[in-house]
Formats: sequence, structure tokens, C-alpha cells
Amino acid sequence: MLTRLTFAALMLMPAAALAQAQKPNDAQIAHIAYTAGVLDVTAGKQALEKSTNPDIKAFASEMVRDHQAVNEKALALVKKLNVTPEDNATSQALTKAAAAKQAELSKLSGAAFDRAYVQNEVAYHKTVNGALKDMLIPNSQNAELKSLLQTGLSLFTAHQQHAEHLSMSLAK
Amino acid sequence: MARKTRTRQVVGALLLVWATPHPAEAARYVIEIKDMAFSSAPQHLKVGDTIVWRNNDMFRHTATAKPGFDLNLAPGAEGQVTLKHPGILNVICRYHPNMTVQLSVEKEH
Repeated sequence: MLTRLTFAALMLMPAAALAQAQKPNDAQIAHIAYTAGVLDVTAGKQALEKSTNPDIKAFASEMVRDHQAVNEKALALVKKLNVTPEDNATSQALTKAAAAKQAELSKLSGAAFDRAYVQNEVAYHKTVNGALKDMLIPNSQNAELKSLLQTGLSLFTAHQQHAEHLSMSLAK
Repeated sequence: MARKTRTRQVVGALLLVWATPHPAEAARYVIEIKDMAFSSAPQHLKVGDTIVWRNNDMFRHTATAKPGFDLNLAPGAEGQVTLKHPGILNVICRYHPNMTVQLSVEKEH
């Protein structure tokens, strides 16, 4: 129970932490967006290794493929803009929460793993969507970065909906 | 004999004209995929029309209608389908099921 509460607090933390902190600059925003993508790719790879459910595997492949695609664009953009992504408290909180979740999921298998993975994907995409909408997009200064973040938001929104559908079909 | 042959040739030529679809009637439309969405469906689609599906997104998508077609489109790729039957076609992206577009296909002229 305590672990769950701690995890929930961590998932909520990025939004709250950033709201109180200084407004993130573009270098920090790029780091957060990139980190969010990498973490979901890692989660997807774990699901591809552990799950045998074809729907889960298809969803996980989609996560890996899409987030890698957007992160390739992000890397090309920061290179072009000559910006070095800057590590920050939000990226660290996201990473820490994801590592805890990965450890928790590693102990599960079969249908229990599938349900927990998809539920976390719903929660994770919600958290990142909130961060994109409320902090990352409004605070980004560079127009190309802002545009890429908006693409990221439409991607994360679509993934959230897919995860919600999948979660409902697993519950049946 | 010669007259009969000629009549047959004329009838044959006329049948050919009737049987060949008028090229001007078949239209070609483009549906663009961008920012995780299909562009809106063209109106008054008819059997025989062609739709080009162009993926201008940075992600891989599909244009899938069951039964019907299943185009797998890498970023920057395009594919085309010719509409064969009248009716409603619900097209989705298999990877992103919230992406949908509905085609309403009328009978050919």
C-alpha cells in the first residue's frame, strides 16, 4: 500500500514540482520530452519481452515505434538548434517513477502483467499529456520545438485512448 | 457477305464503346495523414474512383477497411485503392484505432 501511495505521489510530482519551480527553459523542456519518450520505449520493450497477448504486443510495438520516431526528430531538432538538453528535477522524477514501475511489473506475469502494464500506460500518458499541455508547450520559446511538442501531444493523446480501449477489453 | 461482316464490325465497335468506362468519370482523390489524423473524406465518391492515401506524418500508419483494403504506410509513403463496391467504408489506422475516416461510396454513373 505504501509503495502504491509513493508511486502515485511520484506520478503526480512532475506537474506539481514544475509548477512550483522556475519555468523550464527550452533545454530542459527538450530533456523532459525526450526522457518521457525513452521511458515509454523501455516500458514497451519490457512488455514485448514479458507478454504473450497479441493485442498487448501490438500496442507495445506501437509505443516503441512511435516514441522512437518522435525522439529521432527531437534529437535532430536540438542538434539543428544547437541546444544541449538539460537534466532537471522533472526528468529525474519521471525516470525514478518509471524505474519503480518497471521493477514492480517485472514481478508479474501473464494476464496480471498485461493489466498492470496497460493501466500504467493509461496513467503515464495522462501524466505526460498534462505536462505537455500545461507546462512544456506554453513555456517553449522556439517555434519548431513548440510544434514538435504539439505533435507529441497528439501522439500521447492517441496512445492514451488506445491504452484506455485496451484496458477496457482486458477487463471483459 | 461483305455487308454482313461490316455490320458485325460496326456493332462490335459500338459494344466496345459502351463497355469501356468513360475515363473522365473516374476521379482521383487524396486523403492525407498528418498529426495523427486522416484528412476529411471526399464527398460524392463513386465506384471506380481512386483514393491515394498519403502519410505525411512522422509515424507509421495504416489505412484499413475490413473487408476492403489494408495499406501499411511508412512515414512519407503513399498507397492507393480503387473503390469497388457502393456503401459505407469505415477506415481506421490499425496502430492508432482512434484515427478514423468514413467513406460513403455511391454507385458508378
